[in-house]
Amino acid sequence: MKQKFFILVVLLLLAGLTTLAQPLKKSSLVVPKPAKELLTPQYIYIPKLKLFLSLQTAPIKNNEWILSEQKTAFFGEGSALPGEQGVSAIFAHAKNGLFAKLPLLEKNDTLIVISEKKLFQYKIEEKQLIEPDELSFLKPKGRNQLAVFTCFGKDDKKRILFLGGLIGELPNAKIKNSLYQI
Amino acid sequence: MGSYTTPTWGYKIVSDRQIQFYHVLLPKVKTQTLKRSIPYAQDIKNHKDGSITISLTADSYPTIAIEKVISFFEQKTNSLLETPDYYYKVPLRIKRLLTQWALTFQGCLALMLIHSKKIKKLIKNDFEFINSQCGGLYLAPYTLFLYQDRPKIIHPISAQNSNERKKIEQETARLVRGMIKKMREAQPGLTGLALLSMLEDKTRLKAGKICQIINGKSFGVVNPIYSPFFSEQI
Repeated sequence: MKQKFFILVVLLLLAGLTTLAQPLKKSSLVVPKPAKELLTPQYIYIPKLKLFLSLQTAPIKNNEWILSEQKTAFFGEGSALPGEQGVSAIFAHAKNGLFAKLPLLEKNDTLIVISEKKLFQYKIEEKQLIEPDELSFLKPKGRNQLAVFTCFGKDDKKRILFLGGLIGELPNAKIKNSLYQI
Repeated sequence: MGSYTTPTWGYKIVSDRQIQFYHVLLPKVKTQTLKRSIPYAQDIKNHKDGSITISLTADSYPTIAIEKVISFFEQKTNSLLETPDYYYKVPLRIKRLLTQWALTFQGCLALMLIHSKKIKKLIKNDFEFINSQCGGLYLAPYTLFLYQDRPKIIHPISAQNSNERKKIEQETARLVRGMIKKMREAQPGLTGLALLSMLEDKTRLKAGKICQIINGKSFGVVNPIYSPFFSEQI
């Protein structure tokens, strides 16, 4: 009986050692994604317009953001990630289904940006008409802001810009002030 | 004596030993819990207008006690903004099948939600598709988004509606699991019928009426091809 038990223990140990000796499969390794990827905005939701758009990252070429597709909105590469200090830039063409109705937004309206792990809420603080080459709004102001803009006016000669201030983020909920109603 | 008010909370120092306080979350907090959390509180009296009067111990200062109360409610707010995750799992085969029927699936889910006894009172008896390639449902006053493995209300989010959001998300996940199960168990070619029979059972609506509602709501709405729920990417 004792012998049988001893053999069983040895067999079990051997089985364990063989498993340990096997090289780890690639799929069994958990590679944590870089934080940047987790914060890159994936969707924008504008409750007032019931407008929900997926976001692609627009690369910079010759100091300009390139809009590779006509059917989606873009997050400007190099602009601040949501929640980080600086201005996060989101833009799209002024077309139906995209930002055609954007000019209807007003101060205090809510903008929601969703990344893989977080949801960010902004409240519109400023509405401006700017020139297409004006980029001064991207200057960091010591906090996170969201700039949402699209073409505006005759022949799309102007840009309509909405600057929103971050009021909350989820999860790891943080509230900036007591006005946490989103 | 000092006082301060915001849209969600306010206080008034009545005397050196008494403060009056109001917070929108007061109904969600038991007096005993509050008393335990504020070390200087000797007694807490509830008023009809929803505010409370906190009597302080002799060795305390009202300003410090106020700070403690506000910090307690800030923590409470933070904990209430997030809801637990309620999961579902959609097999790849079903996802592929649903790619063309994404709107119908969302419509079926919306109809079951507005007829669900558990959340009927929390939402209006109507729904709208979010006209977006990412999908989503507007169940007034909430906007519901279907992630790959869980539903989430993305608007409006406040500490006051945390319980409502939790209930809706829980019920959505439960219904999605049920729908997926029904589709998985259905005979090949009869998946749609299986879903329709489940819908008839849950909503007590006739098949014709269900089709009419979903067809009407889908008019002019794009197919949510970028929705993480229907996407095959993991």
